[in-house]
Amino acid sequence: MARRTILPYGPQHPVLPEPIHLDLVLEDERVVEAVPRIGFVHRGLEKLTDKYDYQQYDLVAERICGICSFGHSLGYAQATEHLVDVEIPPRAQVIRVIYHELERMQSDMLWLGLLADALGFESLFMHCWRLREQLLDYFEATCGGRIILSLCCVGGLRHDVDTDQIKGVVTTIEDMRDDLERIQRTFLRDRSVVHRMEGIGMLSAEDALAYGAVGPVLRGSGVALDMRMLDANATDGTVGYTLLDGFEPITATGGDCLARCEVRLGELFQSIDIVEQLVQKIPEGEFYNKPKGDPADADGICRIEQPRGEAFYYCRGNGSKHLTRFRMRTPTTANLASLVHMLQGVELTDVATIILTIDPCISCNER
Amino acid sequence: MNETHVERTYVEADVLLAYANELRDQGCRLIQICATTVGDHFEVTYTFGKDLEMLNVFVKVRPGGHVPSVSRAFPSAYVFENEMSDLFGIPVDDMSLDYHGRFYALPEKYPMATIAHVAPDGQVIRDGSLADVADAEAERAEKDAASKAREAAAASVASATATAATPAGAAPSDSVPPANTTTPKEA
Repeated sequence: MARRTILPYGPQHPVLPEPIHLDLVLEDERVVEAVPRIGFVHRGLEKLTDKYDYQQYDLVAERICGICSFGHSLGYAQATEHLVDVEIPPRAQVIRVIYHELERMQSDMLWLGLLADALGFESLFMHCWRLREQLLDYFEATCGGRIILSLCCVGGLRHDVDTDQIKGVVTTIEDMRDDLERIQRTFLRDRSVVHRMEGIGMLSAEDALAYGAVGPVLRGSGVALDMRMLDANATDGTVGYTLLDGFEPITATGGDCLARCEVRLGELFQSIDIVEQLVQKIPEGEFYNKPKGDPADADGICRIEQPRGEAFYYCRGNGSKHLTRFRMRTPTTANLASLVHMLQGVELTDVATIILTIDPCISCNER
Repeated sequence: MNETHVERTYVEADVLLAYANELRDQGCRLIQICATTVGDHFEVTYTFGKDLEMLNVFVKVRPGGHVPSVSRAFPSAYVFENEMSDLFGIPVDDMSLDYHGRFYALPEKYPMATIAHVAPDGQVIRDGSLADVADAEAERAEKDAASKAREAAAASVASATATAATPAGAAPSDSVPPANTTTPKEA
């Protein structure tokens, strides 16, 4: 039997985008067990509901993550809107979905760049981030911020966005299509890239469900579960995904790193299609309705599909301006158990690729 | 918009594991576990899902109480249970992977515990927010006392000045100290 050694991996490591620590138990170069540890960037943001009222808190919720910040403010707002008497204007609902999809695109492009960088493919990394910049420029032009948009709030939107300006983004993302197809071909067909991902980090559909995987990790194992289906099939009169001509989640059946990459690449084109459809259907009218009263003594729950997967938001009101509890379960938290399972039995050199394919966001994870 | 109505199903802690096993056999997955401080006790919410459906199960935990781990039924539960144990200090029995309070690398133990209770290591918790609140209250009381003393001193000085300006023959009030009297603060 080979001698066992424990290799500390992270929280500072060249290929780790975020601070997570793993104790890797190795037999020669093979990982036998991985024990994660987090808490290096815990900021106690959930606890801040004590200090900030429910309307101020959406700015805090937005700062939970530096990549998918709009999604967090959206999830928080939707969960809280169940507790207050407010009707969200249809215009606000559609614009929210458009921005959420644009954010998904920039997040996926960021991830693709990081993956290319980890594989040592510098030019591919630069191409991915070059395309992403165009979306960040659009955010800056319409909201002032490139990542923290401060657009979504309880009741609708903080400010209106000009319809013609939103239509302008369609030209931008349509022009990206050719570039994205080239990038997709490189990721899925280039031998040097495929060799690093094919058959690596296997996760079966049964294991994915048992370990609570979400998002592209789950769909890369062939399970067609996407929280956007909830909204697309909504019957409560909300608009947004319901305006689409059907919604089908992107899946892949490989269950390996390549399959997860394939899902994210497919979702880029899916997001382009969604934005193109919705831009034609933006209703005119108000963009904000003032909530009446304070959050009721009840529970508000919302699940949305973030770029990394299903995010769960829980708010508990008590009749005052301050929430008793705000809790969010991020996709990375849900994928952590799957990651540990996937790492068992792999070569040490593949650890970085496998960690990257769950697209870990530890600052979200710890809040 | 989804999840417009949240149904609450309460179960006792001692039947939680059996309940979780039943849900697993029905093909449910674990979505999350969340602890909340409600008055003088905790409420732990277990959210299970099947396809797009969702079920919330609530467990009340009194100070000093324990909850059983559901990680034998749902392997992903250990992440949430360790988180709950580290942040709130709620003891979780029989976790498949127990970090013994070292999952989160935090400088402060149980930062989200807002009621006094017994932690997994048997320690009676009175830190976290309780300590913060107590400190804040003590600080506020001290500031109030200092502010009152200052006001009293200012009032004394004002009265003394008024006394000095009193016409000759008018008897000074007993309550007003002489102008050269020092206030307790100045002393």
